[in-house]
Amino acid sequence: MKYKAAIVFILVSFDIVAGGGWTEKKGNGYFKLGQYSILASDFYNPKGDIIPITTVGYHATSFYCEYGITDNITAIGYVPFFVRNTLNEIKFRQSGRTIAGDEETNIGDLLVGFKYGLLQQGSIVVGINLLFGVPLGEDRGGEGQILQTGDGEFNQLVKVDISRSFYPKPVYSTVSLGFNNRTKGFSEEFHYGLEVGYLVKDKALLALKVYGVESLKNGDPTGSAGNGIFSNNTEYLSITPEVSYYLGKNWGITAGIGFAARGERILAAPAYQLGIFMQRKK
Amino acid sequence: MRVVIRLLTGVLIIITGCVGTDILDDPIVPKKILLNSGDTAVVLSTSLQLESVYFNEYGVEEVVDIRYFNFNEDIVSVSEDGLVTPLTIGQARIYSYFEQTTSDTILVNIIGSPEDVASVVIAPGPNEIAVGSTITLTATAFNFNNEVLAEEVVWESGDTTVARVTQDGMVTGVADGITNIYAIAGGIRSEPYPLTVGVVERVATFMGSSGYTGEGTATLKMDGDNIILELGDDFKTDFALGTFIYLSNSTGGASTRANGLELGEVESNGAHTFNVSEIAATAGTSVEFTTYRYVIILCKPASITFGIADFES
Repeated sequence: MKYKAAIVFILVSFDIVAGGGWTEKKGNGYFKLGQYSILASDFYNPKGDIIPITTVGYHATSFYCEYGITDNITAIGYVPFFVRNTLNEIKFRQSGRTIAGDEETNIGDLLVGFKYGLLQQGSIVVGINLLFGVPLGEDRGGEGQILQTGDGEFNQLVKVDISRSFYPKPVYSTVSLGFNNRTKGFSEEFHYGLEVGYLVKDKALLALKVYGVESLKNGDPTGSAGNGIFSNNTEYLSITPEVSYYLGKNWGITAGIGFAARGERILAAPAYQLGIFMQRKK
Repeated sequence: MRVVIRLLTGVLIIITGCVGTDILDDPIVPKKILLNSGDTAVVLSTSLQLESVYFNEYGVEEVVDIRYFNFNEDIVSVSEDGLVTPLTIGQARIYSYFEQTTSDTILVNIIGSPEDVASVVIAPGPNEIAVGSTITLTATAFNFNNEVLAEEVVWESGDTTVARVTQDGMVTGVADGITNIYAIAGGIRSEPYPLTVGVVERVATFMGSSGYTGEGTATLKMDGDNIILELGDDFKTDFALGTFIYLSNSTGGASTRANGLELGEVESNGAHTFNVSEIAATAGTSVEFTTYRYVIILCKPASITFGIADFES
């Protein structure tokens, strides 16, 4: 199987949600300053084939937080406050001719919402997430008006996380199922995920995340400017190994690389994630 | 922790800092030779140095061993390096070549004195007309010093079954076909003025490419002096941020961006009209009715071809 990484743009924000089915206790929190970067010279076309493209870069510096409002309700926020979308210059080898590149730097789309702890007792817990994608990003930027830091539409994702702790073994797993309702003619999406984690000597958390998005392809059939290859009818199945390492009692660094088993209408390249996190425990 | 934050900040700035460069091979284009046709009149007692420039398959100028072919050895002699020596008064046709690549043929006029007619030039005008329609051409005779001469001009059609021309330069399309119109003054014949009659519309049907949707009809037509591209009501495509229509001689995304003529962005399906002549003029180039083979729907940012309409299929 050909494994090319592929996570794209705004969609990535839905699988960064941490915590699984567990809610934060009241006053507790998890905060992360992170960097997400992808530089792609390949693209999954609508057939799922990989084709070469002019290299596109997407880099988002973000702040992510989960904060326990009550023991059962956790506020969630993802703020990509510095997003760069770049398009490479093309230089022809023999003639030396060039086609200028382009770039757009702006805020990205905001993701805010809540997680409700439906079942929080015992080894199996269930959390329901309601997340809103707020289109604060630029959906038509750069000198050529062809770059994006957001998709320009307001969407709502309902996602159920079912997690299990295998205590006393330092292992957990989470299964996720979700539905993303999109507006402005964008197609709705079915989300699913599986995460397995293992805590090594209370210092390093090793996690393997599998996350998939299937488009219902029920968007505006006539097409519109917003119905772009970068934001609509995208599908992927990503596999992201991630490691979080505690440098102190309540803080550490985290890093991951996203790969994909398949994709449609999305960039095909490794997606790198790097961050520094802090936990607040009362 | 301070050190870690500083390190991370530095890494972020480096990662997100710049727009890179993709290095690609130039699109493959037909090899060609441009033969200098600037000064094509020679006084009998002098000579003329021809110059040729070869462009390889990447469109890049390359020094090669160019040779010349002379159709009229009784009028001029042409050396291997392009020196034209007149033998007698008349007109000679010459082209240059390298391997299988040839230049256009030029006309060299051999004159007796600088005061004689050295060239006859037909003013630019439409190169395509409908059957039954007319255009009026004008021609001017010049001496060796490019001074206008008041010489009587005689007109000729290369094929009177395709187009007729009166002695005041009025050309009438007779039947579908291609011919040349000539103006003659003082025994000097002009370069041919190419004329296409009847074939004033090229129609092609879009096909999707790379898994994307591309449907409908593209029609290239003449509207007076203007070349117009019409996408029909049935035009349908996938859309990306930056979906553009191009005229091109290749179907590749990068080569279309590099060598095609960008007509404009489309943001909806259905009918669209582009004035190709005006767009080309604005872009600082010129376009003929048959300059381009394809209409391309291009996702410009990523250089992905969404659809292709081939006028020659």
